[in-house]
Amino acid sequence: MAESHNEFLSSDLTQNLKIIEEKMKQTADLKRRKLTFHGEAIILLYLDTMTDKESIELHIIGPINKQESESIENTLGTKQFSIMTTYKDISSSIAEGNTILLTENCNIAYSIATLSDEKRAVNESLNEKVTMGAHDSFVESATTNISLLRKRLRTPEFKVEYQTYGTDTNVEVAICYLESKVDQTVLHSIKSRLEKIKNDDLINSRQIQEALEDYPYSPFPQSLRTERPDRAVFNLLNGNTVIFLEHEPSAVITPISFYSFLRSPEDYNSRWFVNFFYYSLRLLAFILSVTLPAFYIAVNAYHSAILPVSTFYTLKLSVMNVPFHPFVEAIMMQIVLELLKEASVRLPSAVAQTIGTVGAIVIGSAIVQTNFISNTMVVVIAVTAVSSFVIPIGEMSTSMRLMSFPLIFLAAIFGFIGIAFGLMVYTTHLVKLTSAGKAYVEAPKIFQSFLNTQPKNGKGEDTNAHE
Amino acid sequence: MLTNKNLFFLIIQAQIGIGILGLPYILYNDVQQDGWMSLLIAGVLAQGIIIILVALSRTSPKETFYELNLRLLGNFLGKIVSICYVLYFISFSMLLMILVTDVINTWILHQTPRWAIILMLLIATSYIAKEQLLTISRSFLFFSFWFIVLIFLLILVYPQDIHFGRLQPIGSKSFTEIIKASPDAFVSLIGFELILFIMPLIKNPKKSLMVLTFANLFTLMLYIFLFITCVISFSGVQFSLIQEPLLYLFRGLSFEFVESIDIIFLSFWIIPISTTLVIQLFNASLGVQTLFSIQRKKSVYLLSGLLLCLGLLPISLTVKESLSSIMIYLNIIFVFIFPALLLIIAKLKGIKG
Repeated sequence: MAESHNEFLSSDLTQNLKIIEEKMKQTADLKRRKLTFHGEAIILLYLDTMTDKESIELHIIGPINKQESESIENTLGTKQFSIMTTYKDISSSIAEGNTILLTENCNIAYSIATLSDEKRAVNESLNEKVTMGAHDSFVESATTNISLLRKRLRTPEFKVEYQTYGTDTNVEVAICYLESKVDQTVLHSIKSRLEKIKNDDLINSRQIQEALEDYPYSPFPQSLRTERPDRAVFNLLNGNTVIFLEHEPSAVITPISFYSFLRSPEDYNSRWFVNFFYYSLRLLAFILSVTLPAFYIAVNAYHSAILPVSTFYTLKLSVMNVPFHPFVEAIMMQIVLELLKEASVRLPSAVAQTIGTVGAIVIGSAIVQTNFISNTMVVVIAVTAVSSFVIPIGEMSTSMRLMSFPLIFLAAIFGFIGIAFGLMVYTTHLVKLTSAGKAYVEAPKIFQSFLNTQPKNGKGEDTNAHE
Repeated sequence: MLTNKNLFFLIIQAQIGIGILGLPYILYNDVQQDGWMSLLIAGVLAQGIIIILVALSRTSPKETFYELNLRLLGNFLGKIVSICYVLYFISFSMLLMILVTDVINTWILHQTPRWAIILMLLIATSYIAKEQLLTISRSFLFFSFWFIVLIFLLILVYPQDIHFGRLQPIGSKSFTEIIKASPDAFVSLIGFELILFIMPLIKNPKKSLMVLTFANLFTLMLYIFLFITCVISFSGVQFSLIQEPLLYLFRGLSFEFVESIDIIFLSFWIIPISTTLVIQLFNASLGVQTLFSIQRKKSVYLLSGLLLCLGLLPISLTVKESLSSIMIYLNIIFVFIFPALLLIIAKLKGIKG
């Protein structure tokens, strides 16, 4: 381009305007506004679609027209602004929603923050509900989210760092932590991992997670995505780091331990034995949702001998007229269940209820009456599904349900032995995983964890974690 | 770096495995109710060997056994010894695989071909063995849950039809007979030789002797408890007929929802059995790594490929019998005599740890 040797603003206003508009690719929503200030022409440039017009009117055009002061700096005194001299800065500043002020015979421009702040109100969390405790949830704005945390953590130790990633999207990423609690080596590794984000198109939390996770191909999430400020605060107090991505209504928490996925913020808000009961229940749900279908298939296909006679007859009567191998039955039923679940998520809530009815009554009872799938299998798969839905974090719940498939397969080939081998591999895999360099699974400290006392820094969940 | 806890679970998992199924049968048919004395003697022997092994690995705590014997015996002789050790671990794993497939074929999956079980076993074990030792030991901690199940089930046997009188007369056998039976018991205690290969990875080498002693004690107590439970539950005639008394013990148990605990128990007992194989694979792969400078991960895959090929060979009963009787002597040579000789050489060369 002709301007390559001339990237700084010149004193020629029309020339400047031409180059800036060229830089902005002549986009249709770039508006210009012409004013005069003490006899000099002033041009305002802004993106119509991103700026807050009321604020421009009130804080820029108004004072300029009144001509209260001699200099532009003083006139703009009430508004935050910065001075720019290159075309590149100016064009990216416009793209960020700022207003550019150019004056005649002057080779500097003023960039004034006028980004319109359209926010969704803070609503109740949809995916992580609790019966007791706070009901607010994160929204699509990182600043609002951080303010939700700040309101709970009124301490100067709470530190926020902003970074911008993605050359195409220029998304702001906020790293929040408590300076006194966070492990500096872990924090350092998190930051260096974020530096490595290569995606030009950073837009999802998943991309952040991928950069943070040590084993991105593992089926288990190694960083926790939550919608709940109270969960984020609890983790901050434990010395973990919370990462926000602008325009994502969730926080990514890392490092995290596997057991955190089984906890709901409600736990810490209830009596110790209630807390203990529900935690144990979720542990049980985890085990059930992974192993129950496999167990049923192993018993049905290989080891009916382990059942007492009466139970044996009940089971055999139920499967007698079913033409399929239990493995096929289980896979069919799992797929039907996933279909129903997926359909009800995608549909508007009024229609989703219909899906529930169709699923429960039409498919559920009809499939048994037609002898495609046995009664016991329906019960088993239903219990499995319900157990997996108990898990408070959706990401983990889905992983668990899907992890039962390989076990089903192994049980169909080797019976109990297949399950034993499968569980062996699962355990080793889980033990191998690390989250930001900290161990993902430790031996369950069930008795320590149900007490409401928060673990002290460094003595917390993962004492043995550094590998 | 391994903590004491990690080391403890590594050792007990390496020790306890398939031996537990047949141990009471073998001991009872040698020395009847005095088998527990043989066990004790074997345990004392094992303790003596542990002291030797720890002393040897302390002479240079930063080296594994393979590096140590390369340094002490020179390049040529050292390499031969290392190769012998790798071969020993391979044959140990081989025997283990044969025993496991036999038990599975007789008790649970009667029709499943041997290769399928071996393939399954090798996939699972090599998946674990290729990991770092710390990961292995931490997963072993989870697998140790089955020891609790075992002890619990053994306690459940007590309300059944048992006779403590079967333990008497104590000491009816001569002392030489009891000693003669102890090598059979000693086979089941093998596994602590692992310490030779992991000394550089231990956080607190000074405490290792104590940890090993506790691990050995745990295993020994578990075996004695098991033996006594079997003796008081079965009569002499029964004992001569049943090769896996432990499983028959559990066959007698039944609950409202579950019968034949033996099948469930054996199926999941595969996990502690596999851990023994994992340790053998680990030891062998470390040797291959040192000898041929191949990555340990790759050498685990290589070794499991080799074991799979060996497992595909048709193995007759006589081969199996002779292999297991040879193993008894090989164990003593490789776990006791070699390290003891090496310790003497190390002391003569005046190398201090």
